[in-house]
Amino acid sequence: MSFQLQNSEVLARLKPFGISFEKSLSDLIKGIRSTSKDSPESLSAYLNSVILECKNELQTTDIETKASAILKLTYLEMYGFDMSWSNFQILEVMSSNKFQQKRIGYLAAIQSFKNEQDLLILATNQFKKDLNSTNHIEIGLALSGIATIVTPNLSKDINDDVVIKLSHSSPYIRKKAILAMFKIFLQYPESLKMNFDKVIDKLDDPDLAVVSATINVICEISKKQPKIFINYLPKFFAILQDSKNNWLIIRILKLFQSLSKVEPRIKKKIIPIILDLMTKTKASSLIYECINCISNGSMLDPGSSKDKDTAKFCISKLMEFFKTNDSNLKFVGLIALINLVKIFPTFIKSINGVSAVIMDCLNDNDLIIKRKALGICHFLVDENNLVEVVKVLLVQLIPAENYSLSETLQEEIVSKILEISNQNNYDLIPNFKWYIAVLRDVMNLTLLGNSNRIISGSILPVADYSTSGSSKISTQIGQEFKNLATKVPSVRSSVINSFIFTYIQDIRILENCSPLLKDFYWILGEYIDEIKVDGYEEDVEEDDESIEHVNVDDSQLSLGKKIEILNTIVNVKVDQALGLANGRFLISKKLLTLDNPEVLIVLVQALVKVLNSIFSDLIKFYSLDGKTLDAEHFNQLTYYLYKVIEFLGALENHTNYEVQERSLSWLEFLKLLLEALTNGDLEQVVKLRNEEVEYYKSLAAKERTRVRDVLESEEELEELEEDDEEDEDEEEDEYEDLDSSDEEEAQEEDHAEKSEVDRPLISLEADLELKANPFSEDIKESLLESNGVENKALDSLNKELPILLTHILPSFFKSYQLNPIEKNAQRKIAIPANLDLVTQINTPPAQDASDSEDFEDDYDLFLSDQETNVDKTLSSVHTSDGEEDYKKKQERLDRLRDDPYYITSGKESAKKSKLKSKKPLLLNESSPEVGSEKTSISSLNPEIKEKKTKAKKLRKEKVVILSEEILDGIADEPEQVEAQTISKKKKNAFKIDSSNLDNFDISASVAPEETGAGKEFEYEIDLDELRKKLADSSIEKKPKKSKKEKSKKEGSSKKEKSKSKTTKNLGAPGTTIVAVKKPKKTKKKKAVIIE
Amino acid sequence: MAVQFLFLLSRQGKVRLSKWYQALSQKEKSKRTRELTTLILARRAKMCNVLEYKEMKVVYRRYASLFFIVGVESGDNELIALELIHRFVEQMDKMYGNVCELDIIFGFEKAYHILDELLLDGVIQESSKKEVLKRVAQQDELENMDEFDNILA
Repeated sequence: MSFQLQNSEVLARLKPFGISFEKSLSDLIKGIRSTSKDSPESLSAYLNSVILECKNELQTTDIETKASAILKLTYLEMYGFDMSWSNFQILEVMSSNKFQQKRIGYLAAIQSFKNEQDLLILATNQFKKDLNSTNHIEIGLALSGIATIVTPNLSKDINDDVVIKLSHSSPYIRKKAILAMFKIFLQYPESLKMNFDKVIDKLDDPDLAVVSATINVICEISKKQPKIFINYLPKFFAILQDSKNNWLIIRILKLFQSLSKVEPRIKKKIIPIILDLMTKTKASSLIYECINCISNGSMLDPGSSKDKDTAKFCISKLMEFFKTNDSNLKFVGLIALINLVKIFPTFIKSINGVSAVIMDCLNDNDLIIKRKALGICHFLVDENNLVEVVKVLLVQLIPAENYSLSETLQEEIVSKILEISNQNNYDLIPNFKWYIAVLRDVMNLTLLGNSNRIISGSILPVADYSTSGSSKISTQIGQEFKNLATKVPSVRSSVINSFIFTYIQDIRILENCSPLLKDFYWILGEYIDEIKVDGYEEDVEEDDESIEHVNVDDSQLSLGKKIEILNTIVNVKVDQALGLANGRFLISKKLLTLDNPEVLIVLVQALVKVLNSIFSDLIKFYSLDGKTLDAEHFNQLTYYLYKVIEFLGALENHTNYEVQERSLSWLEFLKLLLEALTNGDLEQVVKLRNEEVEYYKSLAAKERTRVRDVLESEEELEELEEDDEEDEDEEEDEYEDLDSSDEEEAQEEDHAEKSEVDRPLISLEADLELKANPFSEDIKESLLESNGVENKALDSLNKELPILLTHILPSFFKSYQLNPIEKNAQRKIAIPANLDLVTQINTPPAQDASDSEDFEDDYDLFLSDQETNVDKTLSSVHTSDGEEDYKKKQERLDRLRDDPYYITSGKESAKKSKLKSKKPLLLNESSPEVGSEKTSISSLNPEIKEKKTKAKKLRKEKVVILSEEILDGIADEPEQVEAQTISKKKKNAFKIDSSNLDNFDISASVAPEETGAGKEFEYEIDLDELRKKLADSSIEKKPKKSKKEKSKKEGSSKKEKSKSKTTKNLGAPGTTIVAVKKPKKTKKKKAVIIE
Repeated sequence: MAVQFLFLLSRQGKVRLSKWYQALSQKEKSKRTRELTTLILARRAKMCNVLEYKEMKVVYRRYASLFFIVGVESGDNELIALELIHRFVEQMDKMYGNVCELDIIFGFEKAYHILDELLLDGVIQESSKKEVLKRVAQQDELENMDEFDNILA
């Protein structure tokens, strides 16, 4: 024991030599190094044991041991350990008389103190003591400490002591003091008012380091409050011109950058100086700062020719950066270039080499540089190089071997491609075929490419749509297609034929980027009539007549395509009947379980539009008078309707309200239609269903056989199929062919010839086959014939179509042409002056019931006596000719005009034109040309530029691009500032920032009392809120940690406040003291609960 | 120039020195360190040394096996930040005498002292090379004086 004591005494004596001390820290480090080699577990075990040791060492009374423990903890802090629990010991070490220990204490304090209020009250005295030390180094140390850990309270208390140090004899102290003052200003702005002159005085300090530090401080303050320094401009100029120190010059330039924003006149004086600096210096950091000062200090006016020269000079200097091959200079050069180009966009083309530099940066391997270049490449684009730029961008999307392209970057590139392409309403696009190809590439590279990567990796399931970058890309591409389709009528058909048609049947889209489908379905629904047969698009250059010719030829084939799409979407029931393992109509099945309601919302509408299109095609081709249809096609039509009803029925109970709502409302209408068509007799439908199922079954069988034996002869095959068919027929398991176009032809030729069924019409080859089909000729002939001859024999077979189908359904979709309108146009529509939303204007429903057309409004009524109504509907078909129809429609429109639930276009109303152009989907039979008056060809390039110099270059095609319709009327409302809605960032409770200076007004009188009172008031409010919060939180514990922290903090501030409250009340009669004390206690209790 | 933080990173991603001029919670500090570590270690030699991270710029530079990483405000001059890093390394080199990673590991407090003389709460306080070293040397001397006193006592 005595030996040990002696031993420790010896050690203590040795400590000053650095022996014991060093050993213990280096022991720790060595220990960490050796254990970290073993395993992370052993390391953390070791660290924990070391911390425990330190804790024990801190318990001792020996200051030396404590200091060494603190030093060790400071080291451990680097490993991410919180050492705030040792703060009091740090304070103790700080107060040591020995500089060595004091130094350790300050080091630890600087590293770990974070605004601990109560702690810093104790620290204040220590700081004061050290500040008034006779030793310069100790004063310096204290100033460093103050600068780092200053708090509002501390700054108030310590302010005067630091101010005194501003006039200390040693420049070392003055320099530190002025920097520490800055931190005090941030925490205690009043101090700046009081000591402003002293700060300015320091600009004349004989020591350069002090001047430099002062400029630093002024520069930082000027970022928030530039105005207060305007009067001292001559001083700054003098320093700038005297100084040879680049660090200082750069600081002053930063200062001028801030000042120039509030005092534009200094530009005249400063620019020559800056330009002079730039020519003289070789330091690129200074050149860069000069350019920054000019471009960021709003010293350049795009209109001034002098400024243009300045900017040109800057750019020429920047070009030297790019020549150095130093990637840092490249990066900063690019940033400076971007700033300049933003002011003078024309320079990008007019100055030699700039565009080359940007292109080069686009191709850079460094993603940071690439991304920056991406930011300005839209300035680069013009008519001549668009193709080239887009190509470069596309190349960036190709995944490189050595680095993977992040989705956000992909998204940025994609949106850039889209942005530069649709600039000025597609003004720059040379050829839309090319553009569509680009979009296809984009899709393949991003959306489908991603999925391939995932699949090949076979680890990750498809990422969450809503958050991933691919969903953003999908949305953007989808939007782009929608835009294209609406704005450029001439590309609609190729969009829908070459793109939509294929991709809608591509299950990968559904699986990987379903948001895309939202727009695809929309286009499909809206422009379904543009569907043509393949091959049309290949020869665009055909003159109009020949196109029309083709149209006639292929119109029936396009019907086949439409039906194909319909089948793709709705045939899930057929699949179920087939009972195949991997169904034929996976898309249909997946759609029903798709977790993206947005898509389904659009799909419901699109589906009905497709259905409508099929109906009108059927009527067009097979009906002679537009009101009747032969039984065969009548049944087909009914069957399609039935399928759609079936499909929508599956969405009836969808969890999304909008999907449910839409499918339900259509269901009601379609069911009515079905009633009207069949009178409830679904026999034919069931028959057709069975036929279809059988058809697919046989098709599957056929495919199987084909795989099994390729060598089998065609005849054998047919036999086999016939066998199959017969078998199944016997089992009452009927199937059918539903590929209409085929069927139609088959029926046209011979109704009995059902064997046509086995032709694989569903695939694309089918269409080709169809083309070669000799029957198609027959159809045409027979059509022509029947058109020519007033048919009699067929008439008896014909079934009548309800008016619901022939007129009303199309009227939903075809009344108006759809035109693009400008953004936010809807907001500008004036509310009609005569709009009265209060008084009841429509007649009670009972009267409406008599009106057969009003079925929609009142279905219940309809249900009550279905029969009669159906009859009426039908009879109305009989009796009403077009005119009568029109009359009725007019009546209804008149009635609906004042109905707030309908948006109609009252023809006589003054708002009519606005409304019309606005609402393309109105129920109105007026001619579709109405909207097209707005069609502009302004963006059309009148002269086709022949660019035959380069064979590679795309010829600019002549295309009509609809411009957006602009509504005049109410002035443009300023767009909502989105930044405002972005939730305010949670202010870091710890952070010392300069926000205190934001609202600082130097000219305001010094009124500490007032502000003090104001603060007191603020606190009171806080307190009340806090009480509420406490009450809440005591009921339900909130698991959020940040909240805990906050409440902790508030708790402490509250404690403090309540303290001050009590002290304030001390002056009051004794009774109040008791009253105040009590709540304090309870409050404390609550705070404990929270923590 | 307001430096927000500075830390040293070994090639293995171990922190060798860390200084924060923003008062952040320990958790936030480690989070940022972690994020920057992955970002910076993934970059290759020829790439530029500036990253945009949150609302600031992060400038780094590699010396032998150590990455020196500095976070500055977004309006600050990146080249000056690089210069600052270089200055810091130069001064450590002089102070330790041909500095290497091990020197910094075992004499970390010395590195902090140099840094504290170079920067004062993130603001460059001394642009003269000699001055910083002189001040640190003075402090060391004072420390030794203490020790000397101790021995005498």
